[in-house]
Amino acid sequence: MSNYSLTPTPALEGYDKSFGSLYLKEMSNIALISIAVPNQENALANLNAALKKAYGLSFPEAGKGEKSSDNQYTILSMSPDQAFLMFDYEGIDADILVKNKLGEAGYYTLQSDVWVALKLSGEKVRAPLARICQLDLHPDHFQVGDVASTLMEHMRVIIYQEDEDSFILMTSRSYARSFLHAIEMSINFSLVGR
Amino acid sequence: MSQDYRIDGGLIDRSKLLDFRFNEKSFSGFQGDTLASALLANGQKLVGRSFKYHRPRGIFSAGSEEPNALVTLREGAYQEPNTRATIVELFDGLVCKSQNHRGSLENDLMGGLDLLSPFLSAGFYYKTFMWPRTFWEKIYEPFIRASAGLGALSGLEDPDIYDKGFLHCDILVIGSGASGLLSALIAAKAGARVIIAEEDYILGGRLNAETYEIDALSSQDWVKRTLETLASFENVTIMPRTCVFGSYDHGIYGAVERKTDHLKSAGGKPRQILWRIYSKAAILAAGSTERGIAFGNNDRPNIMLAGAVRTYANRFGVTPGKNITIYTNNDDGWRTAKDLSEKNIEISALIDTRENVSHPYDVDVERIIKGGRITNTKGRKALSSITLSNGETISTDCLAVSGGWNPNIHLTCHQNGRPLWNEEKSTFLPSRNIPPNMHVVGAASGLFSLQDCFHSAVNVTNFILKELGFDEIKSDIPKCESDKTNITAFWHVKESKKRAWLDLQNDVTVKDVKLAQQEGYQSVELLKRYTTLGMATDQGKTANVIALAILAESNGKSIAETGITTYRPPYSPISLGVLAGRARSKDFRPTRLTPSDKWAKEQGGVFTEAGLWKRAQWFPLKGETHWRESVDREVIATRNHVGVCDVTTLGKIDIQGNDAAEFLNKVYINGFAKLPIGKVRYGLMLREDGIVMDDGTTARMSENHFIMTTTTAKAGPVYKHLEFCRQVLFPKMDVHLISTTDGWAQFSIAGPDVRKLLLKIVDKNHDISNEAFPYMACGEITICNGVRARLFRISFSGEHAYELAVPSRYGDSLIRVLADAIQEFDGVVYGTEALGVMRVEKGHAAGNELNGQTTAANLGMERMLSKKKDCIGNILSQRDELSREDGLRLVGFKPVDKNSKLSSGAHFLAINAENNMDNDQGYMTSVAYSPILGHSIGLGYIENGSNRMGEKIRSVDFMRGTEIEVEITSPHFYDPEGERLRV
Repeated sequence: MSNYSLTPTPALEGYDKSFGSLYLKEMSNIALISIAVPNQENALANLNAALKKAYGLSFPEAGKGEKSSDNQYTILSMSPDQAFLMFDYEGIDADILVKNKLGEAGYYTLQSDVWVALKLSGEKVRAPLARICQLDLHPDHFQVGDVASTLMEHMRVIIYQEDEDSFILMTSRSYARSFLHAIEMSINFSLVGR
Repeated sequence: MSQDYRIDGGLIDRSKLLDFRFNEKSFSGFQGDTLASALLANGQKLVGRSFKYHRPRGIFSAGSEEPNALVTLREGAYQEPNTRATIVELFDGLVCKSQNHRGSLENDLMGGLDLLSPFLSAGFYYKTFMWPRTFWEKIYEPFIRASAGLGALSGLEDPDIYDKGFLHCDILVIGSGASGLLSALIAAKAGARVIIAEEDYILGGRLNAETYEIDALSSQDWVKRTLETLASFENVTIMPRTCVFGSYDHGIYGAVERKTDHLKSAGGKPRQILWRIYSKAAILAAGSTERGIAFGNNDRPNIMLAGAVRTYANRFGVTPGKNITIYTNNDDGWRTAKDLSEKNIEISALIDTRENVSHPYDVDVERIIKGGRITNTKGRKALSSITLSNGETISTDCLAVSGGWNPNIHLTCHQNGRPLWNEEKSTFLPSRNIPPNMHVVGAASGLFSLQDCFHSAVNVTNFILKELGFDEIKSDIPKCESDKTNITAFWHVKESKKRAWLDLQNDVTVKDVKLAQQEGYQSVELLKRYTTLGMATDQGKTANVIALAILAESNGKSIAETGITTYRPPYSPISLGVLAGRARSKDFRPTRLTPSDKWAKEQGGVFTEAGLWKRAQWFPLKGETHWRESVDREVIATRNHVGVCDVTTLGKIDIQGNDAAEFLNKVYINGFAKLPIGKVRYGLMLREDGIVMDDGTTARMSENHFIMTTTTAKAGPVYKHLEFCRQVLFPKMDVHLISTTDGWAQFSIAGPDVRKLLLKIVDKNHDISNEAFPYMACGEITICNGVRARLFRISFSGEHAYELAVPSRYGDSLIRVLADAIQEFDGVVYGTEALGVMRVEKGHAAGNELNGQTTAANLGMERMLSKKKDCIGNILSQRDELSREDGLRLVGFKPVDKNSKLSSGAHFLAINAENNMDNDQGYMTSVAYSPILGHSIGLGYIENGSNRMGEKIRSVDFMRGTEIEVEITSPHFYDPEGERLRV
C-alpha cells in the first residue's frame, strides 16, 4: 500500500460567484464521455437502442442536446457521429460505467478532465456572451437544447443552452484560467448596458 | 466667458450648465452642446492652426466631416489628439487644447510659413529635399515633421479600456435621420430584428437641425415620438454614439460605440466597443454632407458650411455670427437664410452664384445678390469682410457657404463599388455594384427632399421585408413640406487671384490641383497621392468632389470620366485602441497552464512560452546565480538518480475503431498493425509532399484502442490532419479520434532510480519489473491507492524512464507526491531546458529538426519507411532530390576546442572554403551544453553527414559573427547503445 494518496482539484477550484443578477459557477463534478458511432452498418440504430435502454435517450441530430426524463443525463451531439454524454459524477471511471451500460454499441472516451465547464445564468446572460461569442444567441435563433462548437477569445468552446437563461460553456481544461478571466471581463464590461 | 452668441431654442438643457477649459481658459456650455457649439456660443472663433501653412482656422462644419476644429482632448495619459470638436459631447470638466502651433494659438510662431507658401506648392517635398540625399533622414524629415502636423500622442500607455462584441439582426439601419427612423419603424412593425445605429449622440440626424413640420409636429418632436415607438419594440436595438465604419463580406458591418467618451471618467468601464454586426440586410440611411465653394482665402475662421450654421442655430441655440452672409449655388442655402432670419439673426447678404434663380424660399433678407462671386476675404483670426468680383466689400463676421450636398455613399464602396456621377444633382450616387443586401435610402441615395426620403424609406424597407420573408407594412408617408433642391454646379471662383482652399485639413488649394495636373498627375488616384488631397483624418469629405471637378476641368474631361478615389474603411476615424480591444498585454492571447503550474510557481520555477503553454524551464535553487547552474544540476541529478518533468503539453489523441490499426499504418511511415497490445512504438508521420510532419509514440491499449502522442507544437495540426485523413481520404474506415491532451496530467520520470521511485506510488498489484513491464511497454494501472493511471515505458532522455499519466484533476496532487518521493533518491523536478539538453545528448529530433523542410532520409530514418505498406507521403518522399544519398543528414557536432561554444543557426563550411552560399554544406539546428560530457554539443544537418564521421569543418554563425572549428560525430552523444533504457 502506497504511503501517498492523491487529492483531486477542480480546474477552477470550484469557482462560484454572483454578479448582480448573473451567476457563474464551475461545474466541477460532472462526467463527460465522448460516444462515437462506429462506422458500421446499423451502428446508429444499435447505439440509439442502447441509449434508450440505458438512459432513455436517443442520439440527437448534430447541434442538439437532449436530457433524460429524470434530468440526470444529457447528451450533446457535436457531429453526426459523435456526442458527449454528461451527468453528475465524481469518479474518474465514467467511461467504464458508460461502456458497461452501452456495450459495444459505441466507442467511449473519458473526457471529464479534458474540459472545464462553467454555467452562466441570469436574466441578462446574453449581454456578456455577446462580447465573446460570435454566435447569434437570440432566443428565436439559439434555443434551449441547442449546442454548438465555437471560438471565444481564441479558445474552442462548446456552448449549450440548458435553460431559458442558462448556458453551459466548456473549454479545454488548460485554458480554464484564461477562459474564466474572459467571461468575468465580459460580465464586468457588459454591466454598463447592452 | 459669457455665452454671447447663445440664442433661443435648440435641443440643449439650459438648466445644466457645464464648465470646460480650452487652452487653459474657462468656458461654459449646456448639456446637449458639442464642444464646437459651446466654443461658438462663447465667441471662440479661432480654434486651431492648419496643417502645412499654420493658417488660423475655425469651426467649419457641425458633424464628423470636420476638417479644421481638431483639438487634443483630456490630459496626461488620457490625452487624445485630433478629436473633432464638432462631435465631442460636452461634459462638465472637459479639458482640451488647440493643436499645431508654437507659442499661443493666437500668436503662432510658425505662422510665418504662410508667407513661404509660393515655395510650398504640391509635391514640394519631392522637389525640394532631393539633395543631398543623406540630409533627408537626419535633417529634412525631422524638421518637416516638427513643423507640420496635427496633435501629439501622450507617449504614455493608453489607460482606457476597450472591448469588442458581436451583434446580430435581420436589418441594420445605418443612420437615424428621417429615412433611417422610418425604415427602422417599418421593419420593427414587421417583426424583424432591427439595429439602428447613429454616429451622433442623439438620434434624428438632420431633423434635429431643421425646422420642418412633420405630421403637424416639429421635426424634433416627430423624432421624439418615433423613438418612443421604436423603444417600445423588443425587436429593436437603438445604438446612439455608434459609427458604422465599414462594410465587409457576408453582411458584416464594423461599428464603434462610444460608451463613456461623454463622461469625465470611464469609471473602469470600456471607453469604446468595437461591434461586429451580422445582418441579413442593411439600410444605408447615412444622409449627406455639404461641400463648400472654392474662392480666395475661403479658409478663414467663421467661414462655415451653410448647413452647419443652420444646425448651430436650430439645434444648439447658437449663432456663429451676428452679421452673417450666405453664399450658395443651390436652394438649400436659401433655407439657411430663411431659418436665420426667422431667428432674427442679421443677414448682410444672400449671394447666389446662379444668375436666374427665383426665390426658392421666402427670406427676410434685404440684400440678395444673384450671380455673385466672392473673390477674397479678410480678417486674420476671424472673418471680417468679403470682397466680390465687382470690387465691393461687405462687412460680415460669418460666411455660410453651400456648394451642394454629397450623399454619404462611402459604405456602398467598401466592397469595390464605384459610384456614378449624376449631372442633374451634381453629385456622385451609389451604383448598382454596392455590397450584397445593402440598400440605400434618403439623402444617401441622392434624394434631398424630405418627402422623397420618406417615400424611399417606405418602399425600400418593404422590399427588404419581402425578401426576408416578412409581411409588408402599409405605412402612411408622414406629411411634410416638399423641399426645394435645385442646384447649378459651381466649384470655384475663377476671378479670384488668391489661394482658394479645397482640402482645409491638408492645406490643398485649387492651385495645387492645377499644378499637379500640369505636372502629369492627371489620374485622380495620382492627384490624391501627389497633393495629399483627401488623405487627412476627414478623408476629404468636404473637399474631394470639388477637387475632382477642378481636375476634370483642367483635364478637359467630365467628372464622370475623371472618376473618384476609392473609399475604404473606416468611414470616420476610429482609435487604434478600440481595434485592439481587450487583446492587450496578458490578454493578447489566452494561456494554457500545465497541471503542475501552481506547484511550479510555488517553487520559483522560471517559465517559458511553448505556443500558448506556459512551461517551467528550470527550478533555481538558493545560491544559483546562472540558469546553467540550475539546468546542469537538473541534468546530472536525473542522469545519476531520478528526475521528473511535466510533459502534459504533448498532444494526446485517442484513436478507436475496428480500423484504427490500419489507419495508423496509413498515417505513419512505419507499421502499426502488428503492434502488440500493451506496447508503444515510435512513429514518424509525413505530409502528403513527403516532408516530415511530426513524430511521437503510439500505444496500443487494446485491440482497437490506441493512444497517440504528438509534439507540443503539432498537437493541433496533427489532429486536424488525422481528421482530414479519416473524413476525406479514408471515409470508409471505422476509426474515431478525439483529443485527450488536457484530460491527462502526464509526467516523465527518468533516471537510474526511477523504478524505486515508482514502487513508492504504484499500487502493489501492478508488476513493473523489467520482465513484466519492459522497455516500450504500456498499460492501465492504479497509483496511490486506487487512482486510475496510465504508464508508458518510453524515454526521451535516454535514461530508464516512464511517462505516468493521471486524470488532470490529480495532476497538482501528483507533482507534489512525486516531488516529495524523489527526495529519498536525491532526485529533481526538471524543466524544459534540462529536457532539451538530455534529448540533444541522446540525439533525438525535436521541433528544430522537424522544421517543415526535412525528410525521413534527412533524419536518418529512411529505413523506417515500410516497404510492405503504403502511407501518406510515401510516393513524394521518394523524389530524386529528396532521396539523394549525399543529401543532408542529421548528425552530431562537437567543438574541436572543447571550450568553444556552438551556436544554433550556424552554417557549415569546409575549412578553407570562402564564406558564400555556394560553399554552404548545412546548418546547426540545436545546441546544448552537456554537463555529462563537459562541453558544448550540437545537432545539425550536413551534406552526406553519415559518411563524414570525424571530419572537421567550420561552423560559421553569420548572425552572431562567430566561427569555430567543429568535428562531425554521431548524434548519439550519450549511451549510444541504449543500454540504460532497458535495465
